[in-house]
Amino acid sequence: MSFLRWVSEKLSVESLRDLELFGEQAQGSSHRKAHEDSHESLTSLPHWDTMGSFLPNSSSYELLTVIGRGLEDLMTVNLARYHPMGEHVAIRRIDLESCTNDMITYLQGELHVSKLFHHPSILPYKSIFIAENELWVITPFMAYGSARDLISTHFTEGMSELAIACILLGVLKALDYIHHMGYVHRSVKASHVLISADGQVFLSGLRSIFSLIRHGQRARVVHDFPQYSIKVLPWLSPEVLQQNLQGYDFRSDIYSLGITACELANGHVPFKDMPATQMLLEKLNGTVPCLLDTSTIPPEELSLKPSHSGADSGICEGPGACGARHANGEPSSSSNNHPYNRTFSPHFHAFVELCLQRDPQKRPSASTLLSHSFFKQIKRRPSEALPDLLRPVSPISSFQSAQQSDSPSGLASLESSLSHLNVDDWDF
Amino acid sequence: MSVGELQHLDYLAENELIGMDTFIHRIDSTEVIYQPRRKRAKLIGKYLMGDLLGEGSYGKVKEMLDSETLCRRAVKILKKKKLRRIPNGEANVKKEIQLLRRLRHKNVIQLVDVLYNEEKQKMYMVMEYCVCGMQEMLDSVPEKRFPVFQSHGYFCQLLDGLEYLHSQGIVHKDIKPGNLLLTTDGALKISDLGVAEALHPFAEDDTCRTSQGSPAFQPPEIANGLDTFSGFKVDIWSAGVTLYNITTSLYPFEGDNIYKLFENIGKGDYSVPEDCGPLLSDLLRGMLEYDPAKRFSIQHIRQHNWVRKKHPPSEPPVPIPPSPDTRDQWRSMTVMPYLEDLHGYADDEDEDELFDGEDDIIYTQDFTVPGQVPEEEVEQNGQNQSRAVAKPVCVNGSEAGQLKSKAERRPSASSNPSRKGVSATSKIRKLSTCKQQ
Repeated sequence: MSFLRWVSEKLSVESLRDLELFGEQAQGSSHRKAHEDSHESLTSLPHWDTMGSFLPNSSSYELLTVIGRGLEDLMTVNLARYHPMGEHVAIRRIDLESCTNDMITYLQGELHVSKLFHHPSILPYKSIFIAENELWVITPFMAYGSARDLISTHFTEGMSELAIACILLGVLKALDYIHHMGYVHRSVKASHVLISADGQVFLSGLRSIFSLIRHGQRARVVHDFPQYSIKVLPWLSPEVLQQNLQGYDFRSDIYSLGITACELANGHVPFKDMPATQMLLEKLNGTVPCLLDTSTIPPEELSLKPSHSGADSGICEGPGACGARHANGEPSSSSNNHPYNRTFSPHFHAFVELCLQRDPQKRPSASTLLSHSFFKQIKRRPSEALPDLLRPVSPISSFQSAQQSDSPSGLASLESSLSHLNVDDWDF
Repeated sequence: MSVGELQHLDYLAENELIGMDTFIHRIDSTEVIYQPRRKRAKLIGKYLMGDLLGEGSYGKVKEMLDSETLCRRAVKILKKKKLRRIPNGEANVKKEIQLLRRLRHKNVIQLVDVLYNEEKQKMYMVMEYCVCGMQEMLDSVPEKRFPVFQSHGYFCQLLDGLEYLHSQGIVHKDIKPGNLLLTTDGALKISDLGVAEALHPFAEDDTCRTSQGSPAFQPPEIANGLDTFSGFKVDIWSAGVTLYNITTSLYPFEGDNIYKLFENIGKGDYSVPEDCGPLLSDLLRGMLEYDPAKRFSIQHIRQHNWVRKKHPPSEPPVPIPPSPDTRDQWRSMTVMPYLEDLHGYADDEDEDELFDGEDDIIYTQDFTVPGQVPEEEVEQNGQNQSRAVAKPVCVNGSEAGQLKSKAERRPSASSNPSRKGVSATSKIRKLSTCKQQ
């Protein structure tokens, strides 16, 4: 969150300068227009999916604005233009000379896995090369940013159920693939879910991925505790956190998916305002987070004037207390229009409950979940439906037309798109 | 305690000291010992204390939780006063820290952090968490040995770790099952580098002059009291005795006392049980070779057919036994009750009773120990406890983190009935220290 604030502050200072950089034309064209432009420009690109089309040569890229930093400030994320095609990409530049051996090992692991994986729902690394003392990782520019950016800038009380279904479907496809490849992702969260201009959902955050293959055989469980993962802790399953002989397997990702579902629906991750130690205590004691709506919050609380006492933790009382769930104070809003005065479908509630079961063996696999009734509500192709569902957010993909310095929403969406590769990926 | 104070106290007559003792209210030991063991949250820097894992001559080993990363850790708590009573105690600890700091290998225990509390004269060595020791596993089954394939798996990891240590110019000198720990995922960690020796960077070979390792694992050259010997070959011998022990449950050399034992080792007569088979027997004989020059090197061992062979799991492996105290088969975190206290989940009926779960009994025992630091003075009330939390100076880089804890918010214990008595008792202890000097 502080990073997002940093980005927006930085943007407010630098926005004018940045806008001058690539905003000569384009006054007055509407957001919808911008979106159409981008759609055309993107679909017209011939080699969107092939690695070889991006030259491993730093001179082919024109670095534009800085959109993020991380890895203890050793990494800079730039928006850049790829000269041969005029296409926008995101570049992570990492100062290798300042990295510790551990960091290098981690980076190697991530890059190795990125080469191994090839799936339409996993963020592809277009090119990886060394430029002087820096490692450059080229990824496509994700015009909607991350799902986390979307909820922090626009959907602060959560997204619509259909939008969440489209997003989670993409994540599940990626997880199904990753699990079949014998890996546990270990950092499924909204900030690692990126959405492209054409509404496609990509899972990123491969840094803490872990192989289930031990000594040439697929292990039943693994025990490794993810390092450098302080920011991911609220999403981690109880069995990952408890670090005992029981171990964990790919079903821990299903738990994280359930937490991500709550995050997208409630506008914040459960346990977010707690110290990590308390979150651990809650999870191991069997506290199960839930979707906040009329079926989980008592009507008297929904009609109450919400207090300013603190953000909702999004946690139900106890594992089986479906009837008596309550929320501990709600985010502020006008008294008659409580943000959680809404009703998610029973399918969505059931889906989340399945994912968040304390016993990992009871959680369904990703492939089973793909046919869950929760996804039956998706009638169109998710990539077609998503841009409409995300309105009023529009993707920033055509920089010539989307920059309107006088439009606050334009600036906001610029922020959201520019902050998408946020440092959550790199919280060393 | 200043030197001036000491000198001044020297002038006090002995009967005056006894007189002070009587007017000071001392806590009755029964009062303390029979208190229900209340698990009080205790933070050392950013680490939350859990239950006791083991105890050594230097102090205790406890479980810990890193309250920021939530990573399980173990901590070796070293008390300066205790170390002073052990030969080379302080020097060994200093050396161990220096060694561990520069080591990084999957089969060598990792030192994570070192914290030092000047006030309490305690040092905290925060280490990787290991779930069980190999000796504890052996002791948990009647056969007191592992199946061959399991022994083989551990032995290969021991070789990896040992080869790394030797490559770093370090002779461990105390390889034995008791110093081989296991993590939750079955990785072996060579631990306890307390008597290890780092060879001089410019030393021509691995010549050593001293050894303080465990007698049953010492080679003939040490049993015979040679002035100099090859350090690496000492570790090979000890690894050989370890392999002998974990595959057969026996020791190659025994003796009713250390003299008999060293006499037997010095003669070098031993036998390998028949059922070891020719391959393992040959390896054991190569590692337990009397002449250090002829004894196998690590490279030699690696090429040995018993090491290279794939050993099928013919019988089920010896599992890690349940926790000794709680009988928990998964060996789960022991910090949970302390976490509940930290976040105010436990009921607060005995808020005034401010003994630390950790050391309550120990203190009463320590009262009789001359020269003990007055640590309960700091540990027994909330105000001081928070000071103690802030106190540890992090030696290993990261700043000692503060956590909003119940322990810190706890009001100072004005109602603590024992407080007056304790601070007075600590004065006594200062006096009795002087008596000794």
